[in-house]
Amino acid sequence: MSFIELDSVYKKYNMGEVTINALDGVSFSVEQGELCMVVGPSGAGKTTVLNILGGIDDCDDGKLRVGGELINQFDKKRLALYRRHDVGFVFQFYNLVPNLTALENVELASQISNKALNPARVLERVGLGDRMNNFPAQLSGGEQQRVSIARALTKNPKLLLCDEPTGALDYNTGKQILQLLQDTSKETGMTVIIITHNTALTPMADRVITMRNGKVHRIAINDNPLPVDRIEW
Amino acid sequence: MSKALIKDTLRTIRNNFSRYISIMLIIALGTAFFVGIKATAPDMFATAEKYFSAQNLTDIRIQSLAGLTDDDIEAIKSIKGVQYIRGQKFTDALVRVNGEIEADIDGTQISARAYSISPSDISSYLSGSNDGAYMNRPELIEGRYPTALNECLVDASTLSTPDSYKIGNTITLESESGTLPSSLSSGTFTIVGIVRSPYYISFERGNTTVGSGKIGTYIIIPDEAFNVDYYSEIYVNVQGADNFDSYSDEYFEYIAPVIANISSLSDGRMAVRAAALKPQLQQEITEGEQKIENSSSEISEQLKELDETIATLEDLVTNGVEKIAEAQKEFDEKFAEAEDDLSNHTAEYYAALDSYSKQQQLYKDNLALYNEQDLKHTQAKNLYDQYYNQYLSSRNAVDYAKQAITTTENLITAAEATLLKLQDVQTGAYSQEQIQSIINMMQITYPELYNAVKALTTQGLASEIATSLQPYLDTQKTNLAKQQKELDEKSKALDTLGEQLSAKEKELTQATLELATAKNELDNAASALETASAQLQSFGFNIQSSNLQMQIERMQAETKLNEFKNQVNNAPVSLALAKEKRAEAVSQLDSGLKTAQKAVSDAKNLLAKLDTLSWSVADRNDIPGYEGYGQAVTNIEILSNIFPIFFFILSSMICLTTLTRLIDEDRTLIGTYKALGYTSLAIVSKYVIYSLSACILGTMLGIGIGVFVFPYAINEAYSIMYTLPDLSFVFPWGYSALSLLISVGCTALVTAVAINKELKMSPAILMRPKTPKAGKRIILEKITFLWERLSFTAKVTARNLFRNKQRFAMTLLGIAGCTALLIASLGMYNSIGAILTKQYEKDPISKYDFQVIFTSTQTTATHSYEFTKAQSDARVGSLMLTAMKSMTASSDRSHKKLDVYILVPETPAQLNQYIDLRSRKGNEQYELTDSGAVITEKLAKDTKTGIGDFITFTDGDGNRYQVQVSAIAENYTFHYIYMTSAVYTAATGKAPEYQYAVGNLSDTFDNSDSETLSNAKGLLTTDLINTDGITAVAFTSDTTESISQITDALSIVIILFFVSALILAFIVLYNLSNINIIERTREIATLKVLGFVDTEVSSYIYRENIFVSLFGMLFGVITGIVLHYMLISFTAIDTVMYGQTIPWYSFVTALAITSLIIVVVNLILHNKLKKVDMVLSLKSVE
Repeated sequence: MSFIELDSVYKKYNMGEVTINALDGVSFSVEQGELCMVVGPSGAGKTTVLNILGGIDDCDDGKLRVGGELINQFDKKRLALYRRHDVGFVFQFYNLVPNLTALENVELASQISNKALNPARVLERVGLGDRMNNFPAQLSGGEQQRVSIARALTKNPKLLLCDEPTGALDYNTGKQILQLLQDTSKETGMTVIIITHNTALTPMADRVITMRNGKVHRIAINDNPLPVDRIEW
Repeated sequence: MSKALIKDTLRTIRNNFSRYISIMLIIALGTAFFVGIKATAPDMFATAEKYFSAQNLTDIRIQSLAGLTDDDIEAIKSIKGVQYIRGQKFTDALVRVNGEIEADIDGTQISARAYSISPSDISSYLSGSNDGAYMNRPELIEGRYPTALNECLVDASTLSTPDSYKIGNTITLESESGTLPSSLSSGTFTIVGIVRSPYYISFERGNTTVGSGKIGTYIIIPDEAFNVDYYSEIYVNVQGADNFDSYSDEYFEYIAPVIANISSLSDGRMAVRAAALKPQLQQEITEGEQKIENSSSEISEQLKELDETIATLEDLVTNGVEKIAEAQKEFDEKFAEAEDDLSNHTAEYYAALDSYSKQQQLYKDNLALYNEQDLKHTQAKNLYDQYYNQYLSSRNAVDYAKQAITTTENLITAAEATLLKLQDVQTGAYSQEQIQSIINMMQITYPELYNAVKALTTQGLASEIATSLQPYLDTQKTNLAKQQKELDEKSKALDTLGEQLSAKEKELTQATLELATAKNELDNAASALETASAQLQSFGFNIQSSNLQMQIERMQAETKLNEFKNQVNNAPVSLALAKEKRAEAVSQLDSGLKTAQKAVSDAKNLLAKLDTLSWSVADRNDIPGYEGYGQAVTNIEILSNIFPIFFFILSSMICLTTLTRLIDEDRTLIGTYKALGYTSLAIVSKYVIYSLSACILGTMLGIGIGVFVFPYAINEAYSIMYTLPDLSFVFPWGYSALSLLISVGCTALVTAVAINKELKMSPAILMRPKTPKAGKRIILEKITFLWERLSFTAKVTARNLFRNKQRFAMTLLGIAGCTALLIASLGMYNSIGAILTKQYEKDPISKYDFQVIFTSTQTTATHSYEFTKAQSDARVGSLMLTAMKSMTASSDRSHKKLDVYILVPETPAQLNQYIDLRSRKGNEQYELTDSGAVITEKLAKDTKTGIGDFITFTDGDGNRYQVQVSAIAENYTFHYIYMTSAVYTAATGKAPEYQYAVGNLSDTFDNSDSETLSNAKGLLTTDLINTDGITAVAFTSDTTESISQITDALSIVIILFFVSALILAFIVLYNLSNINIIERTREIATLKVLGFVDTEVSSYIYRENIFVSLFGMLFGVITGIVLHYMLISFTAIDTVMYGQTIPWYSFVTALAITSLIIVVVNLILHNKLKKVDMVLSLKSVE
């Protein structure tokens, strides 16, 4: 059994008179320790998949298993605990609490987790050992994203979900972030799912899921993923 | 503006309707409070102004103890500025309604100032003409103006007038001695109308020399009821004074020179008056003294008669027992005789009774005998009858036997004859035929024989027949012998029976004879019994009648004896009554004498003072209540400067926050408009329209509500104390415009400022999300040792708190304001309540239960009959004489003049049983000593008098006295100066007049329920006032009712504040907390994504709220205390002192209510937080 299994997952949004099938019977699986990339054009349902996987949204039909547990049957409280202990989120716009320093932002997550890693050490690992006491406003975009990643990693989650983590970053910074994510996956054996619309990045992933119009278009297994620095786009 | 922009504006309003409404409401609340309270004072001033002008309130009042004359009026008229002038007569007197004494608010007999009203006044009123010379016009509220000499108008004030002031009731005016006041020709009036007067707007009526010294009420009586030719006061209206506001300084400055000019006439005019008055007074004195002499002799004459009665009674008291014994003896003797008679009669009766019973016995015996005889006779008769019957039957048997013999003899004869014949036949004497005929004949005469012979015939031969006939004949002959024997036997028996019967007959005859004898004897006995019975009856009647007569006589005698005994027994009581009657007579005569003496001493006093007297010329501030009303309204004005501004600022700030938020949210939209090429003005106008329309609507709503609600409520509260017409609402154009201007200005400014920042930015930047406010280190972090000790969450909270200082400050202000207002209003509520509770209820200052007012001044050395009677009543626990006089207190340290009671206890050492003299702080007990007077706290404060200072008090005659203050005592209602008799005498040169007593109920009432208590009070009052020499009894509980009317009214205002504070607190907290959440949705969503559960998210936000709340409440407690202090200082009323402290439970309640609001708001927030959608909030950028 795979670590993540999606079986005919449906999600509809009612926008007044129009009903949009954001997910229209999505089925795929991801193995533990894999770096999986979900690609596709805007509106393909990538983010919806991620949200449902991360337990911040629910699906209308289908089954969703993470580590063997049917998370689409969790109640609100259980979902919150699932997010707390099993999932790390990285957003395109970082979503740092502006009023807290880098360290404090990480601590915000570590405070509530029961198997948290040392926040300072995590920050050092993402290369922000010397910027720990800076506020988000004092950090560059890439640095903020690193804080965001550190905040996700400090909880030592089983699953790291990244929604367009390089979307707001320049090329080089983006590359560094991707490298960080790839390294994390390789070094810690953490399952990482990255959403991007940039298909050029796919060679770095173990598994690439292409989505179109709420459906899985293609699933490709990459036996020899390339290191990030060898990818150009 | 383009059509699309207008549409967008309208939609913005619609989409943000709750925000729009909240801006509107908060502005409405702020404005209502601001304009409403601001409008109150002007409304109240305007009401007074309109009233004073309509009722032509006098500008200047001139009074003189010597009276004022028409010449004085002429003299004053000539002074420049004097427009109208009027002379007014009045007199002060005690009041009875329908013959009953009425108590004033302080428990004393109510006194009234009676004013004259002339026919011209009335016709001026009735014709509706506005005669300027008719000043201080009373305004008729009910009924009509008087048309006859015995009709009057009374005071409408609910506080100062008794309930019995109703149309149709009769008012009697009397002097202290109960006689017609000297300046009146008639003193009884029927109430025909109820009026209010601009001259008396408050319940204060000023002082007098009559009764307790305080004027309780006023009445207006026809001019003709006065028999004096001078005026008591003169009213002057000044030309042009109408142009000034009644309470303005300009007005008083305008009047001042006229007052000065009138005062300058005083000396000259007084000299004239003195010259005219002197001989008059001299004559009065002479006449009075003569009268005193006359009445003295009259007294002794009247007393002589009473003394005789007393002597008789005293004799009875001392010799009563002896006299009773004598009467008893006489009585006993008389009845011994009567009893003898009776016993004789009784003996006679019993003898008769004896003989009667003997006779009765005799009769009974006879009756028995007779009955016996009767029985015997019956028996004899029966026996006789029996024998007789036997005899008869025996005789019949004899007869029968005789008959049988005869028959047999006949047969024998016939047979013998036949036989003979047959013998003849044989002899051939007879042929055959003849024999046949004999045989045939035999067939007839001897049928038996015939049968025997018949056969013979045939065969026969006569001999044979004869042979057969012979035995027959023999048988017959034997038969006959037998029968003969039988007859002999029977005849013999008959003879025996005959003998027996005659014996029985003899016996019967004997018995009949004996019965007759017995009957005769019985009849005799019966008649003897009858005679005895009649005799007995007659003796019985004799005895009854003589007994009855004796009893009647005895009863009569006994009654007489008992009457006498009673007389003797009651002699002590009768003696007491007689003595009482004597005392009454003495006091009545005495009071007559005193009246005369007082008249003489008054005249002497006046005469003595005449040369030094001067006019008292005063402006309106001297009119009772005038200044007080101004002060009260000014207090409201001061209040209106404190509270509303606070409200106003807070509501403006809420507006600002809300608008800033709105503009922030619309940031991208503004960018878009800009990018589309709209001018800044067009874009600004959208928000200005949004905010201004909310603001203007809110302001108008606020003005609309505030202008009526607040003045109405506050005026209602004051209307208990001040008798004025209904409030005139003066629309506060100025304040309305000002509030509109301020709110419009603020809103426009706020909008402009908020949007200006955005407009300056380029569309591109605007269309990107707002850069979050940079995190900053807060001051606290610099205090490293403290910061490091804080937990992570505490650090986060602290940082968040300081991030938005504006909002922090406002929330703090909101909570502090709410707490402060609640504490102040609850504190005020308690302070008002404390007036009653501290003075009268819980550990009270006024401990006495009631006051007794005596008809005449009591001497202290030996207590009078009425005092002793009241004191010895079982229901009275203790009683102490006091002297009480109402005077005016003042000091040269303050301009305040206060009505005070001068109270002198008979026994200062016992005062603490009735009045607790103590310090408010530290609870120190004061003793009343000869070292100085104890004055009450408010009096000390208002006159700025400290311990060791001198305080001045002025009596109704204008005599001024001074006394040094030795202590200041806690007190809440009225003002008192307590002093010992020595201090009083030293200060005034007069001995105190003890005409009152304070008393406590007996301990037995301690646990009575209120109904029992109230009944007992009623009974005690009735019993005491029915005692001669006691005028009235007033229970403290009645006083507290009047005072609670005042305090209840004030509480309404406080409740208004309380409710406003609650609404304000809720709106402020909700609004700010709501904005806080809206601004931080992204942060909250992030927390949720990180795995915070709902309660953790809420507590993350709550921590900040709780901290601000705690801080705010702390701040609010301090502000509340200050505010409460300001309130009790600014809204002070002359006659009462508010409770000065806020009790702990008010703090607790205020904090609890604030906390409750915070909790409710946070609960609402919790739901909002739960609804924050992670997916939507985290969607990149819109």
